[in-house]
Formats: sequence, C-alpha cells, structure tokens
Amino acid sequence: MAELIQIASDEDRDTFYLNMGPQHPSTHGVLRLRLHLKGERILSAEPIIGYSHRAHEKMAENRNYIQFLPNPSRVDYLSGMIYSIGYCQAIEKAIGLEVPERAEYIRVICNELNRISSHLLWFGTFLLDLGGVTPFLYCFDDREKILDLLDLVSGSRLTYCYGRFGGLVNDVTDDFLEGTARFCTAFRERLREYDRLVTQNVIFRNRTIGVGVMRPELAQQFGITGPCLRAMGMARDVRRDEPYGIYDRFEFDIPTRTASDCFDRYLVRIAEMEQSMRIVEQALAKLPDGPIMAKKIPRKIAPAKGEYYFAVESARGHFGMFIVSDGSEIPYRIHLRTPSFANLSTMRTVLPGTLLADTVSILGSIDIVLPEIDR
Amino acid sequence: MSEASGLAAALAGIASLKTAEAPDAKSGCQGLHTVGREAIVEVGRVFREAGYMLEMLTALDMRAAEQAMHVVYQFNRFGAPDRHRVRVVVPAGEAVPSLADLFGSANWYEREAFDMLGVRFDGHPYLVRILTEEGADYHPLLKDFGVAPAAAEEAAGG
Amino acid sequence: MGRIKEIAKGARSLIGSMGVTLKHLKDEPVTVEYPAERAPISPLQRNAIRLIEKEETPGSHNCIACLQCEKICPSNCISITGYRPEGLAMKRPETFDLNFALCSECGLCLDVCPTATLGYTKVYDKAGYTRADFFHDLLEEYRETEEQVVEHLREADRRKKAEREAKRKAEAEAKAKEAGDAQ
Ligand code: SF4
Ligand code: SF4
Repeated sequence: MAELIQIASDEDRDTFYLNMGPQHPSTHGVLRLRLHLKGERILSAEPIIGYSHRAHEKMAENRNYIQFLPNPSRVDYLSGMIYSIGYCQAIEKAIGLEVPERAEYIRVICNELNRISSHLLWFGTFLLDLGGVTPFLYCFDDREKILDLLDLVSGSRLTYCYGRFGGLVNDVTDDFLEGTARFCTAFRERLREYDRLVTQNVIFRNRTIGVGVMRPELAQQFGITGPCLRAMGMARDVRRDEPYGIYDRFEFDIPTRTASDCFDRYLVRIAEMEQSMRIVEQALAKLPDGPIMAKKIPRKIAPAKGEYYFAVESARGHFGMFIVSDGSEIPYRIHLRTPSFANLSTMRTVLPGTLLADTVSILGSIDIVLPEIDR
Repeated sequence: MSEASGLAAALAGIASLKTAEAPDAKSGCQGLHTVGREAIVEVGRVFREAGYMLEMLTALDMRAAEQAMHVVYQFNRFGAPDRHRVRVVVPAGEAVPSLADLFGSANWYEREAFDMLGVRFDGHPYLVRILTEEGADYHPLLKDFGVAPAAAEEAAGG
Repeated sequence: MGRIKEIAKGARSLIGSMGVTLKHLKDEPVTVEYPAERAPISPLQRNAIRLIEKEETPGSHNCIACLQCEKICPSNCISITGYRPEGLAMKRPETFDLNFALCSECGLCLDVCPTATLGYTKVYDKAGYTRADFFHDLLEEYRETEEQVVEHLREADRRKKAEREAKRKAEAEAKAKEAGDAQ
C-alpha cells in the first residue's frame, strides 16, 4: 500500500485524491474508485474491487457438480438465468448429455427474457445516475413483468436455479407462454416510448455523446466483450460466433455502433432488447412438445479427467467457465471468466482525462455488476 | 487462413513450446500448448501481434501431483473462435514473467492469480491482492486452505 | 443564434418526453399496497421447504428418513435423524430440522426425494429477530398424528405382507394343482 499514498509535493498542491465508493449509489454495488483529481479533471483512476468476494470458485471445489447448481446465478444476479443455464450446458457438453428439444427452446426463451430484464435494469439505473427518475419507474414496471414470468416457471425471481443437467426443473405453463407473447407485443410499444422519452432527450444526449470513448485498440488489449465491444463496431457475440444450445437456429442481428461512447453503448443495448424479443418470438412459435428432461441422466455427474472451457453470452458479454476435472464428482477447479471484470479493468485507461461528473455516466454505461466481478 | 498459419509458424519458432495433437472438441480450445516460463512473454507477443486477446488467465494448484503450479493463459481472437490455451508449469513458490506490458487485461488477471493462488509475476507493475483483504497471509484457492471437513472426508473417499 | 436553436431543441425534446408521461397518467396503478394487499405469487414459488401430506400416509408426510435431501443440500441446512418404528420396514424421521437462514431455495432436495414428500411453503415474507427464528421444525405439524400414521403404516405393511403371502400360497397351490393334473 505504501506506494499508493504519495504526499503531495508543493507543485501539485491543487491535486487531490477522492474515494468514490464503496457505498456510492452510482457505483452499482460495492466498487471503490480511487480518483486522483486536479480540479474536476481525473488524472488517474484505480478501481478497487473485492468487497463482495464470496469465493464461488472455492465453493466449487468443496461440493460436487450438482451442488454447485445454485451458485452461478448468484455470481451475476442480474443475468442469473443465463449463468445458471450456461453452467448446465457446460457440464452437459463435458459429459456428453443430450437435452430434449423442448427444454432447449424453453432455455432460449428464459435466457432472452433474462437478458431483456438485465438490460432494463441497467437502462433504468443508468438514467437514474444521470438524473432521470421517470424512465427508471417505467423500466422497473416492465422488468417486473419479466420477473413475474420467470417466477412462473422457475419459482424464483432473481437468483434462478432452473436448469438441471439434462433439462429443466419444471415445464412451462400456458400462462407463461401467453404472458410472454403478450409481453413481447406490449414491450415493442414501450421501446418506442423509451425512445421518445430518452433517446431524443437533449440533456441525455449532451451527457453521453462523445463521453467515455473507448479507443478501438483497447478491445484487444483488455479483451472487452459484450455490448461495450459491439459499440466499438465489432459484431462479436458468442451466440453467433460459437453457437451454444440451439442459438444457431434463430435469426437475429447483432447490433453494432461505431463511436464507442456512452450513447452508443446505450443504443446497442436498446437494439439488443429488440433482437432478444425477436428470438423469444421465434422460439415461442417453434416450441415443440415433448419431455423437458433427458431420459438417461447419469447418477454420478463426473466429467472425464481433463479441462473444459465453455462460453455463453451473458447480458454483459463473454462468460466463460473453465472446468478442470480430475475424474471425480467434485470439480478440481472451476474458474469463472466474467465479462465485467475485463470491462471494468479498462477504466484505468478510459477515465483519466475525463471530468468527475462523467465518471458516473461512463461507469454506468459499461454495465458492471460487482458481485460478478468479485465472484 | 494465412493468419492462422502465420501464427502457427511463429509459435513453432519458440523452442520450448510443445503443442498437443488435435485437441478434443470438449476442451473448447483449438490449440493446446505448453511452454517454458521464460518464453511466455514471447508467446504473448506472438499472439498479440496476430490480433489475439488474452481471454483468460488463471492458475491451478497441482502441488499434490507435480509439486508445481500451472499458470493457464487462454488467447482468443475476435470473430470465429480460435482459442489457444497455453500452460506454464512453474515450481511452487517461483515466479512467472508478467504479461502486463503486452495485455492490459493481464494486469488484473495476474493480480487475481496472485491473490487466489499465490503465483508471483515478475515485472508486474502493481502486484497486490485484488479480491481478498489487503495484508492477508493466505491464498484461498490453494488446495490446503480451509477445506470444509465434510468435503475433505468425501474427497478422501470417506 | 446557436443558443436559441439549442433551447428550441431542448424544449421540443422536453415536450416529447412530457407527452409520454402524460399518456401514462390515466394508467391503472401497477403496484399494490403491501401488506394490506398482496400480489399473487407463482404456484411454483420457492420458499422454505416443508413436508407435505401424502396419500399413503393420511394426516402426515411420507418421509422415510433416507437422508438423501440432507446429503445433497449444498448449504447443509437440513438435519434429520431417523428411527425405525416397531414392526415397520421403513424408517421415519424423528427430527427434521431446516435452517432456513442458509437455504438457497435451489430445489435440489425436492429433486432427490424418492417419496416426493417435500414441497414449498407459501410464506415468502418471514422475518425474525434472531437466527433461531429461522430454524424450522418440519415435523411440528405432524407430531400429533405420528402414532396414528405409524399404526396405519403397520397396518398397510401387514396387509401387503398378507397379500403377498396369499399370492404366494395361491401360486404354490396352482403349481401343485398343475403338477397333479399332469400326473
Ligand atoms: S432448497 Fe436447496 S438449500 Fe434449501 S434445503 Fe433444499 S437443497 Fe438445501
Ligand atoms: S429425501 Fe425425502 S424421504 Fe428422504 S429423508 Fe429427505 S424428505 Fe425424507
């Protein structure tokens, strides 16, 4: 720690250090930013993380593969469904388990609904950080509808444990299918409203356009993924590049923008919600009948000795699971490669030179979820 | 595919690099390599010049079986995946050269690997704990750290 | 000039957004006045687990104290001790405690239960002052009927045994008869 605290010499008396967080409302969780400021300008920034470290990776080594099922959704509580189902898919691939068609379709529907709800929460809180309270209320209204829908099938509202190796816990009901279809129709209209409410708003535009530009070379340097990467003009999406589950059967676009500022990251996410809806509607139309659990599920889940890597596209980017098995029922090691960890580490290069007030919009625009970074 | 073959040629030029034959699709990787720790910076440079990113970096505690730690680097490019997992075997307690100069992401990844497993990275600008508390004297992901008694019993076949 | 344009643009965007807000003025409220009203909950909603009454054991649960749920629970929040009632093939739980403060509502215990006797309660807003408030004794509601149910199970066991006996006897007789006929 010693080298961190430099006593200001005479010539930089007008610079100072500011701790933003860990209990700051706009750091979205417990993130602390140590900012070195000269007036309102940031000279250097160092995100300090780890406040919500819960040792998920250590937990994995102390329990068997089945018992780890509730954990992934707690890693990123905003896209818990994607994480929990992604973990199931990773293990299914490792042990070579086929999942029935119907379960695959339901998984896609739930994943995409979850993605929309995650983006909605981001949207609401991002606007809240910038001072707009009204959109927050609308977003939470819509998000609530999704949570209700997911509650209807999975029994939980936030930290789902819906997937099982080889399928799902419960089948969907007609209520759910009708509700989802209804939601999609209503949500299209809502998106248009959001556009009128926010995208055209002058204050919002002034606070986001040209703010927090990530230079293109940062993408490779830091391994940025997700909407942040797509706002840099790179159409990279795990769902398209290495389709998992049945994502190769759906038609959807990968929205991209090129300016890579806060405004573009916002537009990419809004466009992504629309694409997610397209996927949901296609999946609803094609949903086949049948079982939701594979017939033969091994009693012991123990992947053969070796190393496995499996990636899914979470709402924030590339979520990878690196699983090392020693052939037993207990994982030797599970490393979770979470997207926000890489995305947040760019802040050390992006923030210097910007204004303190912009820190809030930049931090908000990369959509970090601290528990996912700290694991 | 000239880019990929260029990469292969560049990798072949590194003396201590051993590439495994045709990796299993389950491993999720297109290339599996092992390299001596002195050459890892060279490997990093090759991947960086080929436009790859450092997707993941972690370490494995293999002290029980091999008296060594494994540091696992995973490089990937944008677009269709071409994942290369590079492994450095390092005797427990010894350091690995840092990639922080080549990849911005390595800075935090290496801090995490140090924090969790106690692997030291030579030349890292700021190798301090990142997730656990400052000044702690443990590395939680080491196999001998705080295993719950029940799990230990089970692992021992009890 | 630029400034006036800016103001005009701002005013236009403001009016546009106000339009959206005005449109929603006539909307029905989407919230409910908890705790006076409660929003409906999903029939599958996961809360604390409980033992449900089963057909085979009227007035009680059908747990056979196989400890599978205790073993699979990732949070170690279930603890069961079993006993074997006189003249019964199956075990019954003597204590069945849930430390709900640890439960993650993962549903794994429901998955493994061979008699499907676990279910969820509908109470989602339990609060307490101490940790002890979250120790649930799942057998509480069934203590009174335990004797009766054990008796019922014994009865069922006896009946089954008798049926099996009778069947075996009948088969043996039929066989003997067949053998007799053949001769
Ligand atoms: S729901 Fe999960 S955590 Fe809760 S008692 Fe059952 S197995 Fe344990
Ligand atoms: S798994 Fe079911 S039958 Fe077995 S002990 Fe638990 S509740 Fe009882």
